[in-house]
Order: sequence, then structure tokens, then C-alpha cells
Amino acid sequence: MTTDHLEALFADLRAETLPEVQPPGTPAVRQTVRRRRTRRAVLSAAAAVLLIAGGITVVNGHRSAAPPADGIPSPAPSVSAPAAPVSPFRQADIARQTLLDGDYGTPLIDLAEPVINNYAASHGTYPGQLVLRATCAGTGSFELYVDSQMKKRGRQTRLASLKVPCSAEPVPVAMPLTMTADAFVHTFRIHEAPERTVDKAGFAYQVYSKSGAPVTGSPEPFDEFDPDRRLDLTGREIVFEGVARPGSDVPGAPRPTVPAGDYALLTKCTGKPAIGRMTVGRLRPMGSGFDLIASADSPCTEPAGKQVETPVSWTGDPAEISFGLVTEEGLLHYALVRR
Amino acid sequence: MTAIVEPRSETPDPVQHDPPSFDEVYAAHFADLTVQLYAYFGDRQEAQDVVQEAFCRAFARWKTISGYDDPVAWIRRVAWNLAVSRWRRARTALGFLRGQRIAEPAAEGPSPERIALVAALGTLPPAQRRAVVLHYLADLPTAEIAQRERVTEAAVRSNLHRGRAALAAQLKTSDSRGGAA
Repeated sequence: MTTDHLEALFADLRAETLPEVQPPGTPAVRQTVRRRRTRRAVLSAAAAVLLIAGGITVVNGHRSAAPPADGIPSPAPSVSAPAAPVSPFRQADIARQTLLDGDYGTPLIDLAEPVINNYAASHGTYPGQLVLRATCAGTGSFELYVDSQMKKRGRQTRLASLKVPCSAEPVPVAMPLTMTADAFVHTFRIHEAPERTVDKAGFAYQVYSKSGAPVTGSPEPFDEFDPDRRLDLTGREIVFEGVARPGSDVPGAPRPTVPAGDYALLTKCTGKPAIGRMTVGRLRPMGSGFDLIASADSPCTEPAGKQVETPVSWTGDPAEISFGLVTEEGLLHYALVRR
Repeated sequence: MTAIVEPRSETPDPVQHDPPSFDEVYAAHFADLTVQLYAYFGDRQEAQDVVQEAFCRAFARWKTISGYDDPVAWIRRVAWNLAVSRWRRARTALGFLRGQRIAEPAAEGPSPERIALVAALGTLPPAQRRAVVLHYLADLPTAEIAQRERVTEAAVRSNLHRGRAALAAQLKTSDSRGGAA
């Protein structure tokens, strides 16, 4: 069969198929887009109503530093603020879906999480010419840094910096990235993301081989996206939800304050053997101490942690919640749900 | 390894000209894109759905996309990406195409040649199939296919060569089967 013959066959295919195509039309496009926008607005409103109805006065403060030896966190002010309209986890999924819409082959690194300040995730080394793609669903923007470390305890060198805009309709940004074989580990970081973005937006990034050719590297556990690292919150009435990583502690950040009631603490810690800890306590008047109400410890395991559920109840005044991640690297997904 | 490279947008730089209206682009390109994806999927309805979805995504950000040098390239890219994602997820195309091989050629609608060609396309590995469809139906040069597929031009040429050979073999087999029937 000649090329001409094949061209003729395809021309026939086109000629024969074109008249059969019945475009739904631009009114249908407009209607779909309008419906999606409306649905998004309704979802946002519903999420806000749900949180307000729960009587929550919460600020999404993530405390991920290891708690003090006595297990009692230091005092911090309780603050009231509007709740996040859409779960940052959902936003992260939206962002990741945008990346998946591209056809770049299997990513070497693939991650989707809420934007938190001082985010730091360790990823493996894939020597060669790579492409870093990132996107964010939400508002604001942040800088995603990639640092390279040559030795286990060596100094880190900034390899790349990518400004990631957040939007309700995320658009990926990309940049070339070169990794060399002598690197021990690569740390992806976020510093000083704006307040309107932290804990409200979700982001995703992926790293690919630039040429599409297979790249042999030394993977790290967090290189692969794994939804099992998240809590299963299906059917739960979420009061507060967040994620903590080592180093994501923001000194002085307010802790969420929750009214008295019957709750369950849910935790799941993924990482090297250690413990993720979530505590509920109440500040004594004048900041003279902290009464521990409950503490949930979650052993960190790989590749995905185990979901731990700890019932907790209290009466009287609202209580504060703090989060600790007692591990060098890992991820603690935590949530407070109503019972 | 310390160089910090500047980020770049994935989308083309905007250029100064009167942007086409969304309706114009839709009217001019919907059917053509559907035919291309039909050749890839083997399912016209599926192809049509994917193209409609690509246009929905374009419309949602038309203000930006209409400023691009070639807005259709963006839509085509999204449609193909959606097609590839769907195909990967469900592998429905192969099932459908295999089903088509035993379809009655005399049934009303597609001609036997079209059924044979679409079925033959369905037997090609995805990369070869994309190369063939993009070359013969989207009229894209190998350089553009290479850029889209993120492979070298040589790889595209190789895919085209292999795809053509496989199609020829398939269609020959199909002819001989048809003759025997």
C-alpha cells in the first residue's frame, strides 16, 4: 500500500465522517460552563454554611513541630476567622487533574496537597533533563523551590524556583529542571505563601523526563501520588482538617479553637517510623498553663499510614487543637469530625 | 547545577491581532477535530464528547486563549490530552474497535473501507496511531507532532513508518477476509 493510497483512504474517511458529525453547538458549551460555575459557587457556599452551622471558630493553623517533652504545647492565642470555602484537599485534586490533562507520560514525581507554609517534601534523584510542571487551585500565588542536597547531612543548593499562580481554573506552569547523579535528595519547598493561599489553596506538581525517554533514578516514598495517604472522611462531618509536614510549623500561628462537644480525632501518618500526634487541650486563664483533654498518636508507616480514630469529648469552654509530627520526614493528615 | 532557570508558561505568548470569536472557531474546527479523534477512538460519539469538552474548557478561559497565535492548537491539544486520558482509563477504544472488526460491513452507516481503516488503526500502538492520525487527518508536519508528543522527529518518522506498514498489513488482511466472505 502506497502513501498516496493511505492518504486517499484518510481523505475518504474525513469526507464520509464530516457530514455525520453533529456539533452540540456553542449554546451547549455556554450552558455547560455556566452550570459548572454555578455548581462551584454553590459548593463553596455549602461548605461555608456547613462550617458556620458547626459553630466553629477556627483558623487553619498547622502545628507540625514535635510537641514539647511533656506533651503540652505552649500557649497560643485563639482566633476566630472565616472558614475555608472549599477543602484544600479538593483544591489539590482539582490542580492535579489539570496536570493529568496533559500527556507527558508517567511522572517521576507526582504530588498533590494543600498549600502550607514552610512546605517541604523530599524527593528522589532522577539524573537528566527533566520538566517540572506545577499548578494551584485557589487564590494568590506562591514560589515553589527545588533544593538539591549532595550528601546526607550536606548543604542544600537551590536548583530551581517556579512561581505558581493559583486560580479557580488552574493553568499549569512549567520549567526545565536538571538533576545530576551525585545529588542525594531533592527537597521541594514553599516559603512565605500569602495568607489567602495557605490552607485554602491546593497545589500539585509533577516532574517528567523532558525527552519522554525513561529515566532511572533513586525514588523516594513521596515521589508517587498515593491517595491512601489521606484520611478516609467519607460521610464524616468534618469540623477541621489539615495536613502537617516536618518544618511546616509557623511560630506564633494560632491554633484552631473548637467548641465543646463529642468529636473524633482522626489521624493518619505516612513516613519513616515515628509518631504523628494530635492533641486537644484548654488554656488556663491568663495563659498560666494548658490542660490536656485528649491526645491521639498515629504511628507513621510507609507507603501509607494507618487511619487512627480517637473519640474525644469535653464540656464547657472551647478547646484548642494542636498537631505534632514526631518524625524527620513524613506527612500527617488530621481531622476533627463530629460523632 | 546551581543555575536558577526562569519559569515559562506552557501556553504560547499572546500576539496582537483581532482575536477570532469563540463561535467562529467552534464552527470552523469542531467537525474536523471530531474526525481526528474518531479515527483515534473508533467511536464517533466519544470523539464528539471529548471535542465538546475541550471547547468547554476553552470557552471558560476564552479571553486568554483567543489572544494566542493559534487558539485551535490549544483546543486540539486539550482534546487530544482528554482523548489519551480517557483511552488510558477505560481502554474502551480497543474493545470497541475489536468489536467493529466483526461488524457487518453491509450495515447502514459507515462504508466497509471506513470500518476497515478505523479497525486497523485500533490495532496500532497508541504512539503510532497518534502519529498517523495527526499526520494524515490533522495535517500536522512531523516537527509539530514531535513537539506535541515530546519526542524527536526521528521517533515520529519511525512511528509513521511502522504505523503505515502495520496499516497496510491490516488492510490487506481485511481485504482478503472480505474477498473470502
